Amino acid sequence: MRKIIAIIHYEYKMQFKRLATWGILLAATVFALLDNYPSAGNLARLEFLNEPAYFVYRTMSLNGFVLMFGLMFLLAERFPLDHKTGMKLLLMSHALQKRQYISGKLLGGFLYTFSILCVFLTLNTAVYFVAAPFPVPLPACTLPLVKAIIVSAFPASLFVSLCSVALPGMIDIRLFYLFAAILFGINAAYVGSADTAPFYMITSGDLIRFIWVNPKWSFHDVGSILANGAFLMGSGLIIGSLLFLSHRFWRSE
Amino acid sequence: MIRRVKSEIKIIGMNFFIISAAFTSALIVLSAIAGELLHFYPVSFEVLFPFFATIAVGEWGKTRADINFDIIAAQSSSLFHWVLLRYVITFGISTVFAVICMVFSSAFRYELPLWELLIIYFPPAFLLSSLCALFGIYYNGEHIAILACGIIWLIVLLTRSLLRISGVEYIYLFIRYADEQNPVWLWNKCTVTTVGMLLWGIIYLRCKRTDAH
Repeated sequence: MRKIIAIIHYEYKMQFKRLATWGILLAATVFALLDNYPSAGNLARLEFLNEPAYFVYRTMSLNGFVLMFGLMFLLAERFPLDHKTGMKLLLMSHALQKRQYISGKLLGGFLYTFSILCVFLTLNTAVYFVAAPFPVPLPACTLPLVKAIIVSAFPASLFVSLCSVALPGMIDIRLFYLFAAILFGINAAYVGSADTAPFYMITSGDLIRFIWVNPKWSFHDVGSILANGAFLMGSGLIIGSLLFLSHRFWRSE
Repeated sequence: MIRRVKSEIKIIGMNFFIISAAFTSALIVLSAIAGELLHFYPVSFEVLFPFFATIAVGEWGKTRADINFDIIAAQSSSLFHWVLLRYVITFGISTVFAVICMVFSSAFRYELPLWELLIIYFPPAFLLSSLCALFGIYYNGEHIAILACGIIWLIVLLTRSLLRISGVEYIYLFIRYADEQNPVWLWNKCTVTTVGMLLWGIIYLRCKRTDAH
């Protein structure tokens, strides 16, 4: 356990020290504020922007999605980089087990993604709370924020981090980029409606309806919410666990 | 020249061809099974294939991220020629695969002539891949160029509602995908190509500065 924690700590610290992490966070925040800042123009353009829950919903589904896409690139090189720099050979020569190495990398990647997403959501909600030109009670902001972190940020982080760290350990990183671009592209092309969203949506699936639901649409489809959650968490965990089964990945034990 | 091209193709490696062929085949199969609901041509040739060309330029045709960059920069007579050659090879091969995909998918669903598909594909692919080449010249970190271009690609995809603002239709990267009937799409493609050419002007100046040092 101590070795797993050491790897998690290394991954977490190292990723946070990267300038690219802060660059992506900054880019996503600027994009979010341009889109959702409670200015007179945006309030006139977006019908429900005066509701804090809608702000959190929109920030998570649209702008959090951009953040996830950026983090995906940073997470994807974790295993290939260790292989390329010889770090993996070095680690294999120590008394470190395959499961410790993989668990540390996967959990480190997940905690990093989840933390950045939480920082992003909290930062944007704080800006909304301070800048809104109308009185906003604090619980009206914090409640949707907590909901967003639990029902959307957690499963989305799990999916993106585990897939992004694990898949490039098994396939060519360029092929992974291509798969990811197709999935994210399909997600970006989706336009929300009163109908159930496809299960493969990352941040704008039906899970997000726990945060806010358009008052003009009635939504009661629990099945699609479960399908979205099962896809994000299930496929993340399955892809993450595939590495443990790969015999070629580590020395024979 | 042919020797240099062969050498660059050898450096790029087989994986590029395998992945390109797999991607092209997948799109051809999709063209056959997608049906009428999917706007296949704009999605494939204006959105997906240009990003694939960008991945190719950023990942297989890397410049500053190449571990031998310092040696090449110090020993080659013109850095720009080397950057351009690498770009032309990776972008050219991606374009060949795009054309193959266009030809085969037209056999399954003929909706647009080949020349129009080429015009739909080339400007966004050229702009995004040129941007990737520009980032590749400035940053030595691996995957940074594709990361920056990827975020731009995604943000452009997400902001198609900006087309409501007058004038945006002339510069929006995926005009046929966002608004298939837009009458200024040909002007849009000309503007996008011009911006791509300007990026090459910046790359040229940057390479000249590196050569001078």
